[in-house]
Amino acid sequence: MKKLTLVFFLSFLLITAAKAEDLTFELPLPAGSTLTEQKDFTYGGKEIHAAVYQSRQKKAALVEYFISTLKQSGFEQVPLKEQVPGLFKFSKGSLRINLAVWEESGQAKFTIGKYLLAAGEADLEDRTPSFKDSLFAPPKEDAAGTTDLAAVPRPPKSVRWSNYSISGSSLLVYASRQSIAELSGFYRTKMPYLGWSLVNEFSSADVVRDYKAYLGKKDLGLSLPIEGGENLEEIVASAYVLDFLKADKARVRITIFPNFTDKKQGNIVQISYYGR
Amino acid sequence: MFNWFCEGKTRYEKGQAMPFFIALIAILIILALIVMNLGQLAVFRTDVSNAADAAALAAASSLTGTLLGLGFKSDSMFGFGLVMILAMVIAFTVALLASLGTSATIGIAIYITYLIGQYSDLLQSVGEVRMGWANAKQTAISYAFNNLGIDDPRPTFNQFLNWTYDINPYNNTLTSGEIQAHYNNYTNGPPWNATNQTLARKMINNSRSGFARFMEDDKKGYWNEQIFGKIEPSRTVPKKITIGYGWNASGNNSYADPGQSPHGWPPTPPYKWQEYEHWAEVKINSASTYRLAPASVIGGAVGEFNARITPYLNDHLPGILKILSTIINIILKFVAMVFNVRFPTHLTFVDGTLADMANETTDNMINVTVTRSRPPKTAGLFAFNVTASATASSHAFQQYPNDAQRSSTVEEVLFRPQPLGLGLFCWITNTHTGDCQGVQALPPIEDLLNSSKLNSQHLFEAEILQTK
Repeated sequence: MKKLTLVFFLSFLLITAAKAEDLTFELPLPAGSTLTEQKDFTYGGKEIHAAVYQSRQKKAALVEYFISTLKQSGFEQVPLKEQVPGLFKFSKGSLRINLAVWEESGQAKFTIGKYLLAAGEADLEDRTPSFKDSLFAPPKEDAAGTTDLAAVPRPPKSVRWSNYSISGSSLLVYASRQSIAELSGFYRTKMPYLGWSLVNEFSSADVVRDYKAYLGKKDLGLSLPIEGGENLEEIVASAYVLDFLKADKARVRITIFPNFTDKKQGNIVQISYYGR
Repeated sequence: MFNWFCEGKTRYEKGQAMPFFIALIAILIILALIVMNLGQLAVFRTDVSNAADAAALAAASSLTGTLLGLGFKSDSMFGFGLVMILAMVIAFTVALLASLGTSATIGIAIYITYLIGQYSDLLQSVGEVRMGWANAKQTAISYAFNNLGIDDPRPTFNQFLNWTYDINPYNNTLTSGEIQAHYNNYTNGPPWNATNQTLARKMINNSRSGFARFMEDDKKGYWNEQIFGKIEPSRTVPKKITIGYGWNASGNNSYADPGQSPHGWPPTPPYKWQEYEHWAEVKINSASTYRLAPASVIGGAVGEFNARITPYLNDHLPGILKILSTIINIILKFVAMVFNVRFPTHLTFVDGTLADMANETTDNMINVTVTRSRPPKTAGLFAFNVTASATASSHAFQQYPNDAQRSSTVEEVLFRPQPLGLGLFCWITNTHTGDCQGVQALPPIEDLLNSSKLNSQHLFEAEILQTK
């Protein structure tokens, strides 16, 4: 048993050592290249190390350089399932390099993306993105460049995801740790002090049930192309809606529903504000 | 004719013309009586026909209000939807152009809210349409009875005294002051500060004719909730409705209380009201609701938008994302899916074609049949027992169904998705060249949100199509 554990431990060390070695592979850069952006992120459950450069060389020269250099380093060019101008894929063992070369305002730029792919594993284009990917992870703090509404208080213990304003209407999305009952209670209590009158409130469970009955459907056919989240239909049927009116000049709908990326994260509060 | 009488007569004596004049006068009287009878009959039949016409037209007019309300709601849904669509498109596009996938997640949050709002609006409209049809039928019944010239007599003062106070009018124990006070109650109803509400109700009931009570009680009278149900959003009234009222012109109990048991409920042929000397009956045969459905023509606009934004994104995608060959397709596929059938933008009828629109409005008749029966009439030459019946059909319809010039901004947008898709593209990418040159990026959102500007374009009319 001890031998077996040791074998597993050594295998783990070897695998992690190989992975670290592969991802730390440094592709020799063409002369005159400058790093402009570097970002590590996950997509489809794969960790990707990406870096963007600008170059003094021409696009065609860069492409020629990379194909030649990567082949010399033992990489093979992988044919793309779908041709995308300026995009190239290379592989060596489990290491994959995606290379994008393009021109922007007359200057050549390129991105090098590195990730590991075991034999038989689906490549990026065949993977479904997930809410667990950092690429799709919701903001952990208030989104930069956005503000709260002056007329409507933000939900307690919340992070502001967004604020889109169009022609006097605003859509704000918050994530809060509080329960739906606590959040609806907060707005029921707080809004009248700010001159708002509660004109309507309802649970979407009744709405969804009646809607399905009216259309004669068992389900709404809702789904998301991003994995790892909650059942969208259940989320839609778990919402609570409060409508407020202020002196017949402005109205606001507050929709509260479980966090669809992960219910354990609390609830989403969406404020739809229409002012005059 | 006079010559004919004289022809071949050898003698001429005074007074011989008298039989002729007597016969002539008799004939004239008979003719006059016949004309009187025919006139009464014609008036009677005209009353019945007018009642049917009035009822059918009133019902159709009531439905124009319902259709207008649907137009309001549909516009409001689309206005709300457009703001959401813009926010989502911005979110998804920003997802690609700037802050990667985070905004796509935010777009999903907006999508969820949007769905709940649109589902709720559709259901609300379904309820309003059900109530609209119920109100139309109720209106038709009311107009029919009120135009039939029903002359159900009110109780006499003696009956009022007997039923209300249990006073025998022939037992003269009341003072003149008491009689005056009771008479005031009979004519004017109970005093405004009546404390005894039971007595006050008795006064009201016992001083009015059965027909007055029949028409004033919209729960147990002409609109009997036991049969037709309450007028509420969750209830669809029956397609066929039959209601009648019968009364006797003479006798102490000259009225029947339709809200109680004399007719038997639910009414089935032979109808109890037809056992009375006089009776009136209204039959309505029509739909009970418009078949509403969620529509999503925005899909066409998004298809246009996606086709244009894809090459744009290939050029403008952030460098980091350029290594993900399929991310544009994944997100655009999602945008298209979301915006397609699972993205209700407004209301429509059944499948949303113009033919469906016509089926639900223009071709959707409200048929009202009114029948009135009265006992033998002795005025005129002969007594006749008349039962007259008339049917009128009406409909509510869109004034300008095929006239694009008169359609609302919303309809323009919905039925011409390409400009909207191009407009979205030009607006989001801030492009003013190529196809975007001269394109008004979007209809003014204020217009789309300001329902009064749009709703004035939803014009509906009511008309009677045929009367039998």
